[in-house]
Amino acid sequence: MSEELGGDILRIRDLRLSIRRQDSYFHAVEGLSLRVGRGEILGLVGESGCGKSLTALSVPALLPEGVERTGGTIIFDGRDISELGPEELRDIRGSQLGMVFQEPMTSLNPLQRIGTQIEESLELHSGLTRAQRREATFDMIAKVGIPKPGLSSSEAANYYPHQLSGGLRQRVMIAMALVCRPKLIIADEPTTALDVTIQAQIFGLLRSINAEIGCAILFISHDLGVVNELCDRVAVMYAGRIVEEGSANNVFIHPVHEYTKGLMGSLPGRARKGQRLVSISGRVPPPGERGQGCAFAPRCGKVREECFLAVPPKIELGPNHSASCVLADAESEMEYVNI
Amino acid sequence: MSTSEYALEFRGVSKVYRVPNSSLFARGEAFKAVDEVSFAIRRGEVFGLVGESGCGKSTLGRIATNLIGDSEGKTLVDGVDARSLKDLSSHIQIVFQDPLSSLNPKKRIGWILEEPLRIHKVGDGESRARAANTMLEKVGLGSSYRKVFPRELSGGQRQRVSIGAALMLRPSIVVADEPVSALDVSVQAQILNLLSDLRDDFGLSYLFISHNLDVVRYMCDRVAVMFAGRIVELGSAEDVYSSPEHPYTRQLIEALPKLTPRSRSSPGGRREIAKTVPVDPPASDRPALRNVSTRGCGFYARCPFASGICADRVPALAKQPGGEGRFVRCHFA
Amino acid sequence: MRARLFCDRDLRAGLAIVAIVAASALASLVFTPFDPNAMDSGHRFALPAWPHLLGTDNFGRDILSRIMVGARFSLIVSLSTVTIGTVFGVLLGMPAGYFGGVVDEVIMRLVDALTSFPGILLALVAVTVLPSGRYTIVAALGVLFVPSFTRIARSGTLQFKDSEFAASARAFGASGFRVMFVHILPNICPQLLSAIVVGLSNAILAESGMSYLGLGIQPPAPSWGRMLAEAQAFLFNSPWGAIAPGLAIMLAVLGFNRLGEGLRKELGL
Repeated sequence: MSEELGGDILRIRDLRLSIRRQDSYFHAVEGLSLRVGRGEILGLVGESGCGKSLTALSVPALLPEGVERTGGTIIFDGRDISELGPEELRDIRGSQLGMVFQEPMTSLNPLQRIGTQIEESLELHSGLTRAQRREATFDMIAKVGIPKPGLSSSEAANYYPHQLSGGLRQRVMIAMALVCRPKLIIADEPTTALDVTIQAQIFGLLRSINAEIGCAILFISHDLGVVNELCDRVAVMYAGRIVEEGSANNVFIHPVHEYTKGLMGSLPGRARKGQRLVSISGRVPPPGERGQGCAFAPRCGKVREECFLAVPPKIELGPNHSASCVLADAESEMEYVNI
Repeated sequence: MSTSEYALEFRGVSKVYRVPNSSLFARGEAFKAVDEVSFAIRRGEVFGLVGESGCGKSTLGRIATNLIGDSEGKTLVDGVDARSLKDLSSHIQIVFQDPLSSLNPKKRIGWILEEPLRIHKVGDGESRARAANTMLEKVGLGSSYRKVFPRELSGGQRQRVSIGAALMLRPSIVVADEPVSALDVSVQAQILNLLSDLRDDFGLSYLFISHNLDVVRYMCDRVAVMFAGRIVELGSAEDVYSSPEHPYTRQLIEALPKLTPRSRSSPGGRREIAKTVPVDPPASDRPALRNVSTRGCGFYARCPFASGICADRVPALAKQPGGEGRFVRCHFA
Repeated sequence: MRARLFCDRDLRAGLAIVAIVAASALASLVFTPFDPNAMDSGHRFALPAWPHLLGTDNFGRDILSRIMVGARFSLIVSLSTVTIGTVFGVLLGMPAGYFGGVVDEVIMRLVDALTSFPGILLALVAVTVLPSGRYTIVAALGVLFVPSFTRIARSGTLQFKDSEFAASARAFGASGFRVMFVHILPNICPQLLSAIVVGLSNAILAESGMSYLGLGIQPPAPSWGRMLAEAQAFLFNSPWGAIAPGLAIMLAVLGFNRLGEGLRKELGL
């Protein structure tokens, strides 16, 4: 569902995240702007080292040791949360902003029953009584599909994490993120460690929740197929910046940026047998080695001199498609369906 | 090398783990990781083995290289029983998934590449160094990488070294256990291209193990689908992918994220996968856990078409009419 | 990573102290202010002052010189002890961890038996049974140190035995012993190194204890523990005889201990 319900739930402007090493700063993410509409599912896609996880963590201010936000603003639900103190941030985390991480085994407390862990969120953020909290927990457990015939919600709530399979643990994580009915969920590679059939179930769950509660989802992944399945819009990240953005159909079917094109060409799913896969020569430049111009320039097949001089501006190609590339203009002649 | 038509052959291979009494295994103490697997890989063929976690594909790969012993049945490498082959390692080698842990962090790349030769006392110091340099070129790295430590390389580069090391003894077949699963998409493409090139250069066969059906369809000539230790479907990669017969294979393919354009404006436009795939049961009766006394089809608990006979008898891996070499293990195929 | 090697406080403190101990030990080979065994009945119990910087003992012997030579003996004994412990520990611990099963059981029970043996008893037996020599104590102490190194080698081996690079080596056709000593051993060196350094501190303490009891290095060789025992009788008249060796032992043990801790932290163990 991509109805615009009046504005965006999240707007990041010119984000800069820097890694402190001894006395100098290396910028992992720079000049990153993105927005997530209310009730929208946005996919943030990129390879390892592009900074997508750090971007996700910067929103609830959960950056790891040594990484700081050195620039940009984060506006959540109309409020600038970039300057909030720890107390107020804690308030928002969990109640309005839910997080789901990749490894549920390390994110769940192995010594606590899952019901207790889900309830904890409620305890911290809602004013409900004990009985009401229990009720809401069972509801959520049922909603995320943990019970099966013969196992009720209340019985399931008594399980410990190690008694559940990976897929079920991830559902518990989702339940924990959802129980306070947040406006936005940030999911960082939540299905990467799961089997493909389980993954499909988790997507079904996320979509039904999105439809029911209307919460927006910022979904981070390196898997383009996954993002295409789940997301309405997608943003492609490379070396700390967004290089292409738009509806999933536009970006994946008519990629404009050379990097996106390269990625699509590398996928075996779209190649014929025996056809050589496109491989982008070189490697992703780490923070600190990115130069002034377009970070992809050294590897780009269509590079021009101007590409090394300055970061290319974002060029709108249509109502739901933009790319940061000096060549983008020429592509706008192409006719395609914008959905 | 040998006159056998097949580089690798499994005949009724099973592997049973004896587990001390624990709460996860309510009945019995034996766990069948691999259950009567039989198939053969031709020379020069790329054979895919697909399945989800716990299905036994990795175990099978390790049985072939004798890294896991104590298995039942027969494994033949280059036509000879693997157990009686003295230099098994020069016939079959393995490449692992995690490039980080498959190279000894304390040894330099040159040393790692020379080690297989050293173990088999091939050549002397100089000729081994030359062979290592040649291999480095062949895998796209170049001899300047000899003195480098694994931690200085990227994931893709490390995987190239692993592949090179596996080829030093010129095996006829390489078991690739999820060789690209831990790599980024663009690096994945490079490694897949490399594997194809090397196959042509060295006349290799591959047992290509992966959970990623897209990769398997692209790389492999034939593919076997594994579930709960058994082969449930076997055929040419294109065939299995485009017209899967076993309910599990169908579920796998349906669940695969596709990069096709879709209508997104209406909620119903999104594929309703959740309806066809049943809810994940809790760990205690996951179908992957099975003991020796389980009767019936391993997929029974998850199969939308299951009926009485499925609980009682294990279906045989039956040859299908039509396409050559098409097999399905289902009472209703 | 290299540049950060000496950032840790423990490491630096430990290194400084160990350097001092080692320096005096080495120096004692060529020079000491006085002959450590020269008795001077005219200057007994002298207080620390020039020329006897640490005073003299009940025989008029210069304490500083004796401390320096004592450092040498302490280091020699502790190094030998730890070497024996490490060598046998690795030879026993690695196969125990790698092969498991019966081998593991047998070796670990042997090690358990050694652990339960009271050190002093073993030292007494050794001194009685073995040909008497300055370094007889090394044999006894070395044996006592084998169990802890065996355990460290064993657990380190367990950590790496199922790693993929070990599996790779096996796939290449390497024998179990080759995988253990050529492939796995370099990877457990950090743990061993840290244990060796801490072992040195324990060994110095153990040696001092033995010498104190008269089981260690035989007189007239100046050993810190021995000096302590001799000075004990005169503790209230002339404490310097006891304070000096006591401080020396304490500093040496502290130094090696901190160095070991610092190494452990630096190596990320």
